[in-house]
Amino acid sequence: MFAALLMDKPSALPPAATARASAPTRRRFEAEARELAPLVRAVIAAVLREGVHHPDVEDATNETLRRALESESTVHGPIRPWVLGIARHVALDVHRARKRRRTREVEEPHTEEPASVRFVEGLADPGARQDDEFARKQQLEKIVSLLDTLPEGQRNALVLFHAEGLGYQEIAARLGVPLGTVATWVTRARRALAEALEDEVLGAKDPRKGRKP
Amino acid sequence: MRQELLPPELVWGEGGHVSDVVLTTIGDGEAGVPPDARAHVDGCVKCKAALGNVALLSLYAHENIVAARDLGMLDARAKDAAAATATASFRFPFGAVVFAFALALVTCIPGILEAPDDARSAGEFVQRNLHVLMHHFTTSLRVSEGAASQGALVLTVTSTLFLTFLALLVARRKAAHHPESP
Ligand SMILES: [Zn+2]
Repeated sequence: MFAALLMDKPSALPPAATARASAPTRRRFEAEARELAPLVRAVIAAVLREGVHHPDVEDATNETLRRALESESTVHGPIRPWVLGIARHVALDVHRARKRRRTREVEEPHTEEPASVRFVEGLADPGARQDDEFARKQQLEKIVSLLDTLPEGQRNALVLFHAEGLGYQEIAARLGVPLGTVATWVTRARRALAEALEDEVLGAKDPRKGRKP
Repeated sequence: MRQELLPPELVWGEGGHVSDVVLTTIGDGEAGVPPDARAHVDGCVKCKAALGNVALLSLYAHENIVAARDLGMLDARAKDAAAATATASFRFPFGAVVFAFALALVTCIPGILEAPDDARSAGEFVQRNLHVLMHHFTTSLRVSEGAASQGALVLTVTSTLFLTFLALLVARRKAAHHPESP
């Protein structure tokens, strides 16, 4: 189990970080962190393209949990995406540092990374698009119009999950369908979004592909 | 309430690894993944790597959909989802209807108990006075064209239908405003 996975890694929640929070806050956060730590590790491993037990992944996981606890009082809304956002940010910092180090150490010729790798990097690094308000609005409009092309069940499940903050079980009860149908709808809807946005994500990642006006 | 689990046909994918549906469910922190599938993900390098990608995609979708919602760009879709919710959660109130009929039946019991006697005496009365009865019947139809009695019948049926319609309307509105209630 995920919890068990964390148990044999007591370092996942740094003592220095936990000591700063008040006792009830710390207890609540630790309980949530215990659940999220394996996922945080998986996200970092995906960005760094390393195994979950790689030392850099371990360090970045600890750093994520430390930062999350430090700014725990500022979180509004669901904790999961917030913590995963921090994990992505920390992992990208490590990724960029590694790239710089590689460039300094070896004068290696530029090689094109496979599209799948660049796609994950594009998902991980929304920074460039977030800064440009106009481009950001355009991107959101594209996503909203993509939602309209999805089958009704998939669109409703995705909107209820992300925008309304409902769980699968609640969505299943509300739409009158089994849990498996909701999970399938969410999976297919996200896959459809990913496929449709592949160019967008790769374009934003690849400086040679100019951004649309 | 017992936790509903994903059905086996949705759990396993190619090469003995778990399906994308399972990874999505775990990535979203949702319950319903069978313990053996969860144990597999915990011990499988490939599934764990895939879980990271799935979680990144979930995060990407979440950030964009929430941003679109906050800018009011999702209003129509949210209304669609809410409408689908209200439609799906409206159920014909069988329980209430059955209860109403049962109550009506109970209040009828005295009448039903007296019915055989009434029927017997009515039969005897009809036998004895058939021709008089027919005469009265045709006369009353001719004179009043049955306006009073037919009017009463029509009024009863109409008010019953109206009350049933009102009850269904109230039940439907209640379901729309409180979709989690049965
Ligand atoms: Zn596997």
